[in-house]
Amino acid sequence: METFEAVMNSSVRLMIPLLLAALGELISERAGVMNIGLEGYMTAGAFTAFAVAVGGWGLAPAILLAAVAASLVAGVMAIGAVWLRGNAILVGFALFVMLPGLANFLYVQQNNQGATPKLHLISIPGLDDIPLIGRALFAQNVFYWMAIVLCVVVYLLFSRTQAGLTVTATGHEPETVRKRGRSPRMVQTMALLACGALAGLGGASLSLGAVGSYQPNIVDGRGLIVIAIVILGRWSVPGAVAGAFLIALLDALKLRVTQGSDIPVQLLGALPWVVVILMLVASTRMHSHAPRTLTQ
Amino acid sequence: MPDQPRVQLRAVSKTFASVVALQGVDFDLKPGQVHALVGENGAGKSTLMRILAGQMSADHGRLVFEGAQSDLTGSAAGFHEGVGFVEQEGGLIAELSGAENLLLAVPSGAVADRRRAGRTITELAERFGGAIDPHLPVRQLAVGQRQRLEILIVMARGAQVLVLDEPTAALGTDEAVALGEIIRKFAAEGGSVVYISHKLGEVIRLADRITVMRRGRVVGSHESGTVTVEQLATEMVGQVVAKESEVGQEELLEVALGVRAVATTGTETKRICAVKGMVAPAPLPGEAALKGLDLDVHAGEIVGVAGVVGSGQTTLAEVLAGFIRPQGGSMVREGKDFAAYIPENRHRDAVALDLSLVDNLLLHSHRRRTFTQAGLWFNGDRVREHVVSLLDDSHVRYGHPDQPMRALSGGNQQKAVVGRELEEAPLLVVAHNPFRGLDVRAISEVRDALLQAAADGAGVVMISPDLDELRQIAHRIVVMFDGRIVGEISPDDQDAERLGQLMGGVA
Amino acid sequence: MTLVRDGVETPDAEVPESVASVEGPGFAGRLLTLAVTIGACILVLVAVLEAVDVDPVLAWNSIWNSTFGSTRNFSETLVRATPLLLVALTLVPSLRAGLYNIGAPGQLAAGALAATWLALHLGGQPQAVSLVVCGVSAAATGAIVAAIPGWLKAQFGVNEIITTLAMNFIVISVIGWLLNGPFKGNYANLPQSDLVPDNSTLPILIPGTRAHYGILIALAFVPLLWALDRSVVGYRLRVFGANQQLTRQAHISRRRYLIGLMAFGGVGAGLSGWMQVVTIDRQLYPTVADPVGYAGLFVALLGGLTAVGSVVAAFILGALLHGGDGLQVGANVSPEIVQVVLGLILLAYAIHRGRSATREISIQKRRLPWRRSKR
Repeated sequence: METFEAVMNSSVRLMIPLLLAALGELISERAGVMNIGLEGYMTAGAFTAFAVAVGGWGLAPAILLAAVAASLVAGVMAIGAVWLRGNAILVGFALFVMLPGLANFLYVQQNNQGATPKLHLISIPGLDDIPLIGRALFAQNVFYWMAIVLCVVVYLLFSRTQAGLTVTATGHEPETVRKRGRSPRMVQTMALLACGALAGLGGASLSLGAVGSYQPNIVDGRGLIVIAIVILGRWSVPGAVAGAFLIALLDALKLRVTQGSDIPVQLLGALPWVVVILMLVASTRMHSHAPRTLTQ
Repeated sequence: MPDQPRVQLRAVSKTFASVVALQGVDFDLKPGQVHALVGENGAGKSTLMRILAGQMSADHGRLVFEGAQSDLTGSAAGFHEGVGFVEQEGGLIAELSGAENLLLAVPSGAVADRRRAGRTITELAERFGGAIDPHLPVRQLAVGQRQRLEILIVMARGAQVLVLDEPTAALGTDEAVALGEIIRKFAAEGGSVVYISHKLGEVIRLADRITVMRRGRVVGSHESGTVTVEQLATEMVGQVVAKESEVGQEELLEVALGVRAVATTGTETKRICAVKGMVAPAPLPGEAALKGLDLDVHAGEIVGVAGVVGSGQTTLAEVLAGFIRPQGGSMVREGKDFAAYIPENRHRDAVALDLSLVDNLLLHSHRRRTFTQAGLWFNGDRVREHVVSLLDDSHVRYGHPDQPMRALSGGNQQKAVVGRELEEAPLLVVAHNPFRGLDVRAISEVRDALLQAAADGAGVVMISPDLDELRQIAHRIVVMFDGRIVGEISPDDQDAERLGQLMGGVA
Repeated sequence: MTLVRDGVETPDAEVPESVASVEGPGFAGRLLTLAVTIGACILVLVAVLEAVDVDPVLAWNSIWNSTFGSTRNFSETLVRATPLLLVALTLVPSLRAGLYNIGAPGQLAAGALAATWLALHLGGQPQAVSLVVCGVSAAATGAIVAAIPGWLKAQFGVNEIITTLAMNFIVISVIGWLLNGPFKGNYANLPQSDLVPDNSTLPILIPGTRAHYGILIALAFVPLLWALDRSVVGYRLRVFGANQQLTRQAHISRRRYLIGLMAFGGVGAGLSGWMQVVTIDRQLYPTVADPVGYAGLFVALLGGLTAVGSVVAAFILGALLHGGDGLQVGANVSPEIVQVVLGLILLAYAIHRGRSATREISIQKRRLPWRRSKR
């Protein structure tokens, strides 16, 4: 039982960066922009949050600036892929290669390797005493609570608001949106900026929350996993939560399993990726909410 | 002032690249008027209406709408609230529901209230006839329902002008009648309707006024009672300069008027293809699967396949072409296991727009031993010679065999496809909507090629939702409904009621 | 209706000539873009270097010295360019067909693994046997690793970009496990294999340096691509690349060509892995693919998806990568900056050319056997 509680707790913690970034990717894919560069946005967020926090400016500015920095990177994507009509896959791939390189370069060059201030757990008194899941669900750091609130916000965005409907329409048929007198490019740009901000928060939750510092290649492919999560989650918020939790659970189990047995840890490193491929195969059977411009 | 025009378009001109689409066009529309705009494809009808709806700017011209002047050029033009343009391809987003499509067209603030939008649609549907579930994704609706939904959304927007582009092209007879009723009701309440069509008979029945366009100009405008189908056809086709085409004036007029080109044959010849109890999955969403289809095709005949769009026509075509593996039933045929296939969606299925004419026309013949050395490398001279003669034989007008397919007009692309498909004297020819989007001259050339193939002994299956087209060249017509052949009619049979029942599945 | 895609109705009588002469920019135009691109990249780089208080001139001098300063440095550029060229040339056919195989690191590592394992077992054989067996197996292993995403795409329609990237992580994990367990070398307690025997190494091209005959193997793919354009297979690949729906009508197996193209894209990476372990490093280690990374893909793209262009781009990027190593020594700049340079170049390229344009130009520019006049 203790094991279950510990696994639940670490699953939820590991889920946070994935979930935040998945919400962002969800918005941009719904608007019809596939973001291979998500990895780059997350790295920008992680490094900025680290640099600001280590620089002694405080945690709140660190989180805020992480979102802003990642939005700026997403802005490059918007300019390149949406406004200048460059090849979205290649622009995204360029950011995928460039930003981890840039962040690693700055990190090594600055030689500033302090630890960030510790994040406090925010718990809901009473609820965090529930056995087994209480600590996992009701005593987490600030990023967890942000993720919860943002899940609700993004869900309502798509189910209740005109803005969400316009984003969805753009992902299916930008031409129709244009004929209705609105600019699909503007919609996609806004979606990308929102995606950048959310992915930046995801990155910050890695460096400030999970690791407590920056380390080279901190995102380590999570940006790609998130893309698969969004596809498997059928472009819906509940789907993204389920997908992010599944991957996080695998990660948590990996740590447990290698502690108690002689299954080599390196081999288990391949496991999330095998699951990602299986997820993609499974998702081809269901195309219900797939933005049309992405499936063509 | 009921007699004052609601819309006045004045001196509208538009040029695409080097092609003049509109040249000083004037157009008036009155309240309560159903105004038909006829002309062949490429005459500029749709372009004019796109400019009216504000989807496109003009090079010159101005608009007076309800007395308010506006400039149509440059950025001054914009999305026009008062005009609803229902396009042929459908302007609804298929993945979204009717209510959501309404919300996109008529925003109601920051909150998107799907339930209220649904009620609006239901109320309008009751007023103008026909029930539609506003919360189903549009792609699950039948073609006629989709179109009605789109018209209702235009009305919900409060538009006074409804523009319909070839609205009956994909409809069964019953649905076409229902559509006519909605148009009448809308006009009776003071709305104005522009009705784009090339079906002259339909236009004379439905419209109050008919304006004819040809090559970007208005060539005639008549009150409905004062003009005959023959007059309209002559205006539409115009005078043909003899040198310009091998197709004569008379033949063009016949095509425009829909005169029959073949006699009904009663003699049974050799059977080319026998399909029995065919069961096959649909290749596209919105298309029906085959559910036990029977069809015989004989040498030398053209079998017309009629039916409402989405009855399984694409599935049938792709089964005959050998692209879909049947799940049940049998297909016995002479010769090779595949057919010459002229697909409906040319850009998607029949040509590679970026590749050269040579590459496109070599699709089947690149396997010929004489064109290659040991089947590995091409013999450039022979290949080129072959393609040039094929293009010339098919009356394709082109600049250079190395130019990309994209550079050809739609009609010439289609002629190239037809030439390529028919070059190896196929036994079975499947032509799905082969005249779609072509002008009269290209139609007559493609039509002649199909007739020639049949005369040379091929069995031709021609699928089209346009019954008039089928009546022109088919020897017999079968009607498809929900993945089955539900009946057969003679092309001379004018019994509209029985046909409507067949197309609607009441057999 | 005819050309709804363009939103334009074109009267049948007139063929718009302006459309007919769709052509890519000429050679001079492309050179100019290249110059502008490089200029923009340099500006960004100088800004980044200034930000961390590095003298850009000093950095440039150390790049220059370490690239062209001597025969040794030139041969090191060759060593870096060889795998880039191999990967680029084998990726060109699939890129022309619009398939993005981003799995070069995984395919390279897999090839390296196969080559190492065989080389260690072929110690007593003649050099020719060892070379051929290791090389062919490495190429085949790279092809198999690349074919898996191809099969997934053909069978299930899974996006090949994500699966090829995922394969990288999977292959590297498996190699990491092997090098910590069954494959671990006897010399040190590090995740490395034993050194491969001498009989498995490629001969040296320039005496006294590390430049080996691998560059000739890479260059052998240039005439192969040239011949492909003129062949029947090449024609079918062109059709496949331009419109996959057409393969049905041409009775070409879409599945076979898709998997084949992806697999061919892994051949160059597999061969590169082989050369890396048997000739350069002499042993397998987990980060064997890092020196090449994704740069092979960049070379193919920057080379305009042509063989000759790829050769030029491979030498430029090879020099840059080697120069990046020199930076650390000469100007105390960490070599991660090279990733930034690569990213900038790709960004500039991607913005400059959209997907369709890339294909169109690569189709228009190629000389086909039946092409007569210059248009």
